[in-house]
Amino acid sequence: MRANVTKKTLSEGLGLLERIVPSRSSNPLLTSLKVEAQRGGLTLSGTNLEIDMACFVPAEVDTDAAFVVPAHLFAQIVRSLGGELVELALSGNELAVQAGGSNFKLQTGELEAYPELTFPGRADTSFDAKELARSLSSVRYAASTEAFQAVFRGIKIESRDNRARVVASDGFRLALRDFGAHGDHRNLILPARSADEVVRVVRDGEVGVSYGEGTMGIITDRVKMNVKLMDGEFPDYERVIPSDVRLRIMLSATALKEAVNRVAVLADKNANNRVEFLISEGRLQLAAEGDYGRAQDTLSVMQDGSEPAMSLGFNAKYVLDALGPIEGDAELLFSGPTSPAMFKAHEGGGYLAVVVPLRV
Amino acid sequence: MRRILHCDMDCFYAAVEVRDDPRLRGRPVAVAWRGPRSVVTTASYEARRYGVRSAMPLRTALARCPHLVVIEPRMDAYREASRIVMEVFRTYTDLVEPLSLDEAFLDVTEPRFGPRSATLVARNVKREVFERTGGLTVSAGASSTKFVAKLASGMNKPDGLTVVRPEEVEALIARLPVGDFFGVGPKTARRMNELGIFTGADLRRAGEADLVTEFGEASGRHFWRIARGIDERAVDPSDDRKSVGAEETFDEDVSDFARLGVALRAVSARAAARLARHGLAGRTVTLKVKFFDFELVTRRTSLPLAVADADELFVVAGRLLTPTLLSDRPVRLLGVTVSQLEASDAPNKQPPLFGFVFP
Repeated sequence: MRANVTKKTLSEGLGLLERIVPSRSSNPLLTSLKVEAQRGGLTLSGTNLEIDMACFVPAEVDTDAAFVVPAHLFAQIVRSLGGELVELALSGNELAVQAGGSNFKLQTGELEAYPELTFPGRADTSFDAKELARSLSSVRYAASTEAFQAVFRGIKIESRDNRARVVASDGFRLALRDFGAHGDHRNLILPARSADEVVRVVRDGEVGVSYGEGTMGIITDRVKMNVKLMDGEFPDYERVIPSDVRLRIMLSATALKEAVNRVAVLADKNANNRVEFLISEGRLQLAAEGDYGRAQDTLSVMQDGSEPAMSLGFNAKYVLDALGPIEGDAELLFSGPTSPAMFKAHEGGGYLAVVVPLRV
Repeated sequence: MRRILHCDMDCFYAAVEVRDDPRLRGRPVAVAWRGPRSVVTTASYEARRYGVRSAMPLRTALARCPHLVVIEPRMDAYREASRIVMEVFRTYTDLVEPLSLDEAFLDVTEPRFGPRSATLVARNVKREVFERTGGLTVSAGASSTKFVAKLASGMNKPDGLTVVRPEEVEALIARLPVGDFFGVGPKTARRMNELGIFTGADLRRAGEADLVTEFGEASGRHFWRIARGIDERAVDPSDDRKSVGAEETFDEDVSDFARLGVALRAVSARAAARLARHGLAGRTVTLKVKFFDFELVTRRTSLPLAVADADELFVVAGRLLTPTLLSDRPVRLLGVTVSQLEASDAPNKQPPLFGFVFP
């Protein structure tokens, strides 16, 4: 088999797979990727046992062939090549990789021993690619990275009546985003790490989706993924979203981020980076105090609600995370100094963050 | 140069029993709870002559010494005696670090009064303990480090006083079996033996780099230092609790995974109750499993937040208790310990959104 492929497209494909295929494993074959060469292109596939991914790379191929190569080495070699065109040639147990004056001979692995990966065939339905990616990205921060937190390590995807919603929480804060979605979707929990890979492969237009037994298939022009879903019940998050808002303020999200960042410099790292929010008479006063001194910042805000003033403390990092996806003006809605506070964009957009204030 | 005393009451529980019931004098006495799984807490010297040891299953003890007098522990009496003993220690120095009811380190580099001599302080402590407790004896060891002081106190029991001078430390350590070194448990000792390290002299010949490679950074360096008598641990009088936990020894070994789960829930609940009593929560949870053959394994995990709640403890400990860990071996004891403690109502805590953080 001989194949000619541009370095750029091959690198892109390898880049996606490189993120998934582990660089070390008790089963060394899992550190490899499988290449199927057919007229028209190469299909690269690999797995981390959570995600099976296949990526199509257009190429000129003379005869069909399949082989297994060490994923990270192959990617590293291709990245390091000069020139724009890469020539691949398989002979026996060796893959020759050539470009310009460079010539690599890479040992291939045992094709028969490589695990059978599964990929979605046909899409059952679809999402708008940009909406899906944007929504997953904006709630991702709220998901937990702790092994013990089970479903909190995932992002819940719900859908009803032409709307879909992604929700993530680590048990201390919550983020959700609603977006338009047509077709028949399921409620499921996607591991947050797998969601990161989904975000990377979906780009424009529609992304095809299929649902299997405990899995979700993702289909784009070039990439097919089969993602393992999480078992378990996501907690009833709607009950922690306050319904009784007693004070609302509005201000530029950027101005608030900058001010919180400033005062947080002196916040006490051992006290959850506490930043005090004092709201009264159209002003938001931020204050932080730690071992090395104290900081204060005052911002003008639009203010309304039944409560004339309120004082609450937050973890600065949680506030910054919550504000992250908000552009333009942010609305902060408070129900009381110990009740969860809500953050959202003034012009809507379906995003909502819920953060619990720190204990006094 | 510091002057450190290690004071260790002789057969403490048994000695209190004999003191309070003179009919027991001269007879083999063991203090132990009654029950099929009971182990000897303390044995008198008369009982030790028959091979009865503390931590030995009571059945074995009775087999070795059929006329053993078994007495159920009276913790109140021991606590009261302990209070008096610690009081005596504290008349000589503020720097008293109790290790248990019957054992403590004293830093007597600068005693509150009298001559600056560890030997003289030890003599006075021994006399005063004997007088004020109605006849209990203590064995004392004096040296410049905790490690050697503790070794010394065990050398001339009962009622001993052993002083190891700095120039004698090297020879003492050289012939000491590695298992007697501070920080070397039975497993490490076995590993060292496999490597041809049997005594302190062997250990001293081992290179620091080799020890680090074999036993890890912290332990390797520690072994290298302790083999040279270097032990900079200060006597720490703070009675800060380092951990809170609970454990259960089963009446019969348990192999059934579901039953172990039920037991773990109960042990977690008891640990949580103790945490609550002290108003504490902790970021590290340790699961302790002792198997039928007394092999002990511990598994621990550190959490981003302090836990105190019974259900949370159970979830965390439960994820450490895996079929792989058990490998079908019958379990004799389960324990759950919480460490890296903080006050459960500490200010600036991040309250959970749902009332639980382990769904």
